[in-house]
Amino acid sequence: MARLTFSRTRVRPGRGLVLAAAAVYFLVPLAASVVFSVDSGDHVTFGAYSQILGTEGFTDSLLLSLELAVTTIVLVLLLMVPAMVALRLGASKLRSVVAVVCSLPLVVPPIAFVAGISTVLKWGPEYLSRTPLFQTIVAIQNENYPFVLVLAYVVMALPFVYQALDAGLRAVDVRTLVEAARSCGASWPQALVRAVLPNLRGALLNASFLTLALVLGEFTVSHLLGYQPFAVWIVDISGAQAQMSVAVSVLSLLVTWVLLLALAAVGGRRTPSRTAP
Amino acid sequence: MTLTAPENEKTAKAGAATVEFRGLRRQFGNSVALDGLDLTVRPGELLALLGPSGCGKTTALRMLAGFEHPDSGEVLVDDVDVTDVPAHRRDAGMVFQSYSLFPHLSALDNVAFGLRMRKVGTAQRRARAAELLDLVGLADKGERFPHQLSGGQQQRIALARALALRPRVLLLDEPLSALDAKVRTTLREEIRRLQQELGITTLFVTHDQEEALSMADRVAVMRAGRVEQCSSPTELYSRPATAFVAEFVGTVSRIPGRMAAAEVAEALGSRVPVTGGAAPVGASVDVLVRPEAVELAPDPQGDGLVTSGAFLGATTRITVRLPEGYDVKADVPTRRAADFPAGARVAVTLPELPVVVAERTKG
Amino acid sequence: MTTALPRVDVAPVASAKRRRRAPGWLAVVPLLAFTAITFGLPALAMLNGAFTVKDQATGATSYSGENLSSSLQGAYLTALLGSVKLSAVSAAIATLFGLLLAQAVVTSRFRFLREAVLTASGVLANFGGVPLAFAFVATLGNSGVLTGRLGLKDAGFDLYSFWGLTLVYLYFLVPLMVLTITPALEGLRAQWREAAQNNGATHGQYWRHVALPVLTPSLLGGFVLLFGSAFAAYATAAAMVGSTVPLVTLQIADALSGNVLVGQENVALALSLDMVVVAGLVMAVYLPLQRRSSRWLA
Repeated sequence: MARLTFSRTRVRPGRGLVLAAAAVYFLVPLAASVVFSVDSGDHVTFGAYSQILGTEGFTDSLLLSLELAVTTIVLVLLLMVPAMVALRLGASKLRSVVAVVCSLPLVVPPIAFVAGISTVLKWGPEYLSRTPLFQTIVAIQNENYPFVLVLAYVVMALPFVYQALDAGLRAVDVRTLVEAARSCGASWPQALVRAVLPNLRGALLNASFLTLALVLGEFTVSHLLGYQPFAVWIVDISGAQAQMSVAVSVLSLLVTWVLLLALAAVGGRRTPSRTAP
Repeated sequence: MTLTAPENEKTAKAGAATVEFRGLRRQFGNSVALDGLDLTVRPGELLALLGPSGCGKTTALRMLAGFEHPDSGEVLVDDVDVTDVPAHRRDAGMVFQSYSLFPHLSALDNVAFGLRMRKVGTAQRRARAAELLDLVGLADKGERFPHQLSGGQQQRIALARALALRPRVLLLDEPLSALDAKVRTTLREEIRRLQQELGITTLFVTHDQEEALSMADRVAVMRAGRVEQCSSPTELYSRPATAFVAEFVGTVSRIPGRMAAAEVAEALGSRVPVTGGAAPVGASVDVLVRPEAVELAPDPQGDGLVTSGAFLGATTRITVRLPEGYDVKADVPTRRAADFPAGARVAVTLPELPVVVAERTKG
Repeated sequence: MTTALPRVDVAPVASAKRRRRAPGWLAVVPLLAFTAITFGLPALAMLNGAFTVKDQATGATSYSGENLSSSLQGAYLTALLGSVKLSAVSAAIATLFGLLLAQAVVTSRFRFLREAVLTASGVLANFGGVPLAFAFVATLGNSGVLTGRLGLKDAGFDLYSFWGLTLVYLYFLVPLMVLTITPALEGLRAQWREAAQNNGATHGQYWRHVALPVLTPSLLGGFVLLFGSAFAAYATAAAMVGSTVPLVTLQIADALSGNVLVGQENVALALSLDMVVVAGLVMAVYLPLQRRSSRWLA
């Protein structure tokens, strides 16, 4: 009852001003970018957009980014989901250890992380050239499929994935779910797959999306290790084809936004946490 | 931990305020929360607003506090129209359902909050807050923060805070509903004692009939934005004005009957006076009876068939199925309960006590 | 038939026992092993390299604090301070504006506006980087759409300056603040506002004495989070070629790729260590604040 607290409609000029300022600040650069990408001196041209597909490197870099994203998502979920569920079921001593481990990447900025990675990669030729480890180090740096990027992205995604899964697990009582499934005759793996995972659908989607956004937009690590996924490609062409780089930037922002809206629609919006009086 | 009021807290009963709601209407979208509410709270009394959720009781309370505004009608305190007075200038202390203490302030600072808003000096403020903490029996908990206090303690602090500015009216919005049963019982007794000692006019919203009946001087039963009946707890229970009140307060069973004459109904072979609900003479009605007003006797030729019994302590509540398909509940002393095993035949009779009638719902 | 039955009966019991013995931490081991290698190894390498000095002539290596001390001198120090200044200023502005925007959105009666702003914030806060830099170059860069039309150059505006970069950073910091502070604003209970009013507080007094103090841990926490995010940002600045603002991330990248001087890799590692220390301080401030605010607003 007390929830229905519409106070009398008041005019709130402050709020209108804030919203208007925000609209100007956030929409003008987007609009200006669109103008920039179609403006060719005295007439409008959509060349920058129509040529994107045909431009060298676009398909390769985008595909590379998508491949990296899919592998990263699979790997990070394989590592995190069993661990997080197990922590909910017991092994509570390790809970804080995992929490700390998963937030450590926040303390090490990507640029510092990549500095460390490139140092480790240099050990290969310097110290390990006669050991089998050398082959591994060479293999993960394969130009066509740099697995070393996946390793780095998994680490960088840990904090986000941890947050998303933790929030999802908080909302369901894993122990009861598992016990109920077990008492209905389900085996352990069945209980996990049939009872726990379906209830984590929202959290899994959320974690996957955050990881996807992270990988698609990632520039620092891939650039400094000398690979050319999507974000690096945009920067590389910007010198020669400024209009196209802007066009691709605008497109990628819009595509991500649409993806996120779709995800919100599929996964169901988070429920308001407010307790009704 | 007894709550006792020192002399200086007491308002002479003569000085207590009268509150009056006149024709209050309020609509939220399509749902009508208040549909012309008229109600007077007498000086110094504790009046409970009782009703199912959505009946508008909280809305009425919030209008007195100034958090809601009526679409039409007015709120008067001592014959002064306060409808347009903003919430922060109303002279009414309110205790909320739960979680209303400011989390960043200690218990003492929570109680002193209103005095700080009024720019009362620090020393005076702390002295008054300490006084109030003492009043609610938490003098030693002043430095604790809300999250370090139990639910019951939090509500005591909230009560102290509501009284800090010496309001003329005390408003209680289901203050006990978030507490567990035991704490609820002790706290409601203490709130009642404090209220009586202070002699402060109090409006108390609840959906718990036991709470309303045990604490209030008068109970107003609300339904769909209106007052259905407003009277003392005993009268409410023994002479309900309508079938809604009878069924909402306490337990009743429906028995098929007939209006034998004006204000006389006939059921199970007895003629009983009707005090609430009206029907034309000769009409078929349901007669509403309380379990303690139904008499059972073992009788192999009886109409009733015992279907179950529930042990309640001193009494046992027997459910009897009548031939028309009605279930009647009757309380018998537990020592006699063995006479009415499930499956036994019984005779059901009504003593000559006033009843309420309602439109026939079956067949 | 009869001989097969007992076996079927026994098997589940045995396996159930074995499963009960398999402890939960086994599921955590792969995660910990993975991070130990992919995260621990580079971190150790960085630490080791930051303290290692290589003699150019002999090729011999030794441990010393030389890299660290040179990372805190001259151009490197300027870059470090530049990063701190840019991050602090842009985080402070974003905290203020993000709070106002989030409050305007949270109290809005239009559900759609709320959803749209929150989703857009999610995109901009996580996806900033390169596209963001290009959007601003196209708008306010040397040949940007608005630069010429509004005569910004003559007015003294330069996108590649400190304030220009601040303007760009706000584009992902404000949404990040909106995301961070929205749960806190939603956690402000209606009862607190009403209890304050009931105790005679005006709207202004409610904000001064209740809402802002309750929000303070979240606001400070949000500020340090924003600071850390701005401090670590590299892509945006790198994509805006020609920027004159010295930043530590740009210095590390230059030193790593040997753009400036050969043999500066270990100074880059020392600079990285400086960054880790700053970011670690940020987290050390953030976590307790976060804990307090979640206790208040739970």
